[in-house]
Amino acid sequence: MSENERLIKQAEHMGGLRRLLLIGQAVGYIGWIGSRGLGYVQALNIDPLLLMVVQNLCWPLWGASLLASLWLMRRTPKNRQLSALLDDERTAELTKKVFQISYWVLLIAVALVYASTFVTDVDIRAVAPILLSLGVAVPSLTYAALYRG
Amino acid sequence: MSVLKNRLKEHRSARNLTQADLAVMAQVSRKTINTIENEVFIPSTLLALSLARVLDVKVEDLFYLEET
Repeated sequence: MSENERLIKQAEHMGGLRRLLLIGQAVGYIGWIGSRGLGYVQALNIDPLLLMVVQNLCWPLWGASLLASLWLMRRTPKNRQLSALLDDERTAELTKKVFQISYWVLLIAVALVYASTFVTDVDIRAVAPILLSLGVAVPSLTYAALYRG
Repeated sequence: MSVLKNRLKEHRSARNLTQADLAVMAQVSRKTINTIENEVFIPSTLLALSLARVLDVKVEDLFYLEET
């Protein structure tokens, strides 16, 4: 394997790890905050014990993936060559796209919640955590989906 | 309407470079080179000029407009 091939492989492994950590953050946050919201209002008849188990499994997953992401962010710029192979103008364009998509998803989600208040009683203790977790999960999952390779 | 086309793959192959080689030389990811070659991603002027410099060709030999 040539030196260039080795460098590219290293950058692609780091990119893959970044995607995995973003998925971990999204799933962990949805599980943690989302299950708290459902637990407050005891919606969907889910066993509170199950929600408690999900919460206690998910917050460490979210915390660990967040810490690992921060470690990766701090470590990557030290190797300038690797950093350039990982984050270039295509990834900058993807980030812009992710912000646009996330903005519209959240706007639509908030509008749907507002619209639903006209026909049903919406408990803000359930809705706010779900919207909050959506705010974290949508950008993470969109970036992970768009950033392939 | 004009569409941006390129001859990146031809010039890269003529120099016996892999996508990984060109990516490292131009300091971008392999996926970026791949998406430019497949005309999915349109590079900035800066990247187009760096690719032309790395391949030692004029930028207009690498990128051109095609009428549709």
